[in-house]
Order: sequence, then C-alpha cells, then structure tokens
Amino acid sequence: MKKQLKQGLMLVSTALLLSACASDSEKMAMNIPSYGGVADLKVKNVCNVENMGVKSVLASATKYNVLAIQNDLEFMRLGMRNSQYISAINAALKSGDTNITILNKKKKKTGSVSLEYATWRACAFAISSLQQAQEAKTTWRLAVPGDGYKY
Amino acid sequence: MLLNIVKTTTLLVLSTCILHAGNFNAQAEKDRLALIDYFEAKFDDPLKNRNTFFPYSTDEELKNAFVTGLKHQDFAKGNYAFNKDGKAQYEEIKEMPPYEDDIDEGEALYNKTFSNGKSFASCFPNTQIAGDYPKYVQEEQKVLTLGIAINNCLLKNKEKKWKMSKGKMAKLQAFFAYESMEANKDVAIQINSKEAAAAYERGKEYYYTQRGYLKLSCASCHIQGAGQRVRNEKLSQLLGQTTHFPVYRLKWNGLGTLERRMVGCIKDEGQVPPSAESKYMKELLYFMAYMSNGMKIDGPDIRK
Repeated sequence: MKKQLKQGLMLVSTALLLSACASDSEKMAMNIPSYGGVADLKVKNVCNVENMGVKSVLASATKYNVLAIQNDLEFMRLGMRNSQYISAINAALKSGDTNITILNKKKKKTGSVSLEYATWRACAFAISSLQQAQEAKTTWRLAVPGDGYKY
Repeated sequence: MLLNIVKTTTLLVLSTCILHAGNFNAQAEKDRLALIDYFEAKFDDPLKNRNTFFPYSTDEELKNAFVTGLKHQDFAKGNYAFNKDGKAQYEEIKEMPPYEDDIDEGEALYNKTFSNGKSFASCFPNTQIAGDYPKYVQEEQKVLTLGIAINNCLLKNKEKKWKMSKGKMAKLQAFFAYESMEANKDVAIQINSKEAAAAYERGKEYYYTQRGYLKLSCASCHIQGAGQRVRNEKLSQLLGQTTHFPVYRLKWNGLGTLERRMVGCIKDEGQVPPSAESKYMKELLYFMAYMSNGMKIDGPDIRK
C-alpha cells in the first residue's frame, strides 16, 4: 500500500513538473490571429475593380493594409511598399490621373500602371499578406528538416 | 512513512527540474543535427540524388559543377563549399581580399578613445567574440546581437550610435570576426532558459514562414532550394550561413553586416523587411546562428 502510494505520488509530481516546465512555443505557434476575419474573404471578389468600383476596392486595400503594417506583414514590389501604392492611388484619384507611377527606392520612375490595376494590386496585396500569414501558422513546419519536411 | 514520501517527492522534483534546466536547447540541437543530415545527404552526390534534391538540373551540371561528398564543416564556406566555378572565382579574389583595409579600420575603431577617455575595450575586453552573438539576455528577456551590443556600448559612453548595416559597424564587426577566426573560434550560441528557447522557436518560425508577394520563405531558397541556380548563381545553404559575416559583397562594393543581407533577402521575397533592431530580426539571427553552432568562424569574407 505504502509502495503504491509512493509510486503514485512520484508519477503525479513528475507529470505535473514536465507539463509545467515544458516550452509553450508550440502553443504560441498554433495561436492563429484572425486579422479582422480576413480568412473568409475572396480576393478575386473583394478586389474586383470592375464589379466593386475603385473606391470600394481602395477602401478594402486601406483597411487590410493597416493590419498588415501593424503585424509587420506589408508587401512590397519593385521597391514600392503597398502603402505607397495606396497613397499614389489616392493622389491619382484627386488629380484625375489614370495611371500611377512606379518609383524605385531612389524615387526614380521605373514604370507605370493603370489606376485600376494598381488598385487591384494594393487590395490583393493587403488581403493576401494576412491570409498567407494565417495559413503559414499551420504549414511552416512542413519545410523543417527533421520535422515536417521529408526527403 | 509520510516523511519518506515527502523526501522522495522533493528529490524527484529537484532532479526533474535540474534535468530539464540543462536541456533548453534540446529542440534546437535536434533541428541542427537534422539540418546537417539533410545537407550532407543533399550534397553527397547531386547526380545520384537528382530525383530527390535536384529534379530540374541537367546531368552535365550535376556531374561537373558540384563538389561531392561534403561533410558538416565544409559548409562553413557557404555556397563555395559545393560550387566549383564560384569557388575558383572566390579563391582568385581572396588572393587580394578587398576587405583587408576594413579590418585595419575596425581595429583602429576598437582602439580609438571615446570622448570620456574609455574605448570599446571597456565593453569588449575580449575581441574573439564573433561566434558568441546573438545571445539571449535573461535579465532583459531579449536577444542581443553583436551590432546592438556595439551600439549599447557607444550609448553607454555618451557616443552616437552607428547604422546597423554598413560603415563603421561592419568594420568593427569585421575586426571581431577576424580576431575570432585567427583564434580558431567556433560559432557557440547558447540557449540557457525557457525564454531563450522560445525566442529561438520564434526565429525558426520566421525563417520557415512563407512571406511576401512571392510567397517564399527563407527555407525555400536556402534549404529546399540550396544548390539550385537562380540566373547564373547557386543558392547558398543555411548551414554555415552566419560564419563569415560581415561580408564584402561585390554588389555592394563594400562591407555589410548580416542584418543588411537579411533585409535584402526579405525584400526579395516581396515583403517590407523588419528593422535591424527589431525583435523579428534579432530572433531570426539567433535561430540562424544556432544552426551554425560548432562551425569555424570564417569572416570577414567575400560574396558576390
């Protein structure tokens, strides 16, 4: 009886200790942020300039890019941050320009795209950056040798 | 009887905690050894292992362009470990390394006195420290990179801090790297606490997470993609990637720190990079450096 009690106590304390001392990194890794419910959005629909109109798509781009910036996920392309695309679209809407200029990091013009295309891109970039980050929370281990990556 | 139970339980509690306390790097060690196995298998014989590792390369390339039979320490040279053409060009440049003056300037910076009469020696009495950073500072609960330690020293002595990417920062780090290499030092990153292990895990997650509009992770190029060709260059492997920084990059026409290189890589993925002093960057470098543990310091060096 004494022996059983002793063994029981040992087992319980070991289990408690191991669980208390264990790293919480896996729990953190599986903590998937919602990013404003972005998972349910369909980029092809929300960012469709023809159907939704430039202003509505731009509003989505602005809304989700703020979240992307807050979470250090903002996309950039050809030296321009997505927020720069959004600023350029806003400026073009005010001035009536139909194109926006692509500038590199030295602010030198490297090309131009239509206002509609830039708006689509800004919206798609903003939403995709968040959806991709959500997806990665469950997929990143698939690339780790010795973990999810098999060869 | 009760006393005996209490005694046994206390002993068990203590020994479990002690065993666990010495084991904070268990997962990191497992990752590191798995990475070594992966790269040794990948570069053992690229032609023979084409289907597994190099499905898009030509027979000619796999037969003639790769050094075979590589082992752990060989990878300290980055992609010049396996890249025959690249290594030949590298060795030619190394005959007159363009960074020699930078090491001298780094040494002069180390010895230069601050306005208060002290110098960097007051913060870094030992100069063979390149393999010891990044380190986790338990009291501050954060990762400390060599660049930030240098800037902390400047601020502590009422000096202005330096840019993290190039210039004086890279030169002083080149001096530390050279001193460490001459002393035959290894990369020796420590994970001594639960918090440090968590920082390592976050850095690992950052490395393996797909990001940017190209949806690439660091691993896409430097693990699964290592050895594959992008235009005319072969991608380097994670193993040994931190041993040789700062590097003189021909593209930069000068010396740059590891942070500078990482900023460039993340931009290439299509994402706005984190700043050199951000938590993301520090933990990323912590993970990367741990993967090179046990490898010889080989910096500063040259890269294209």
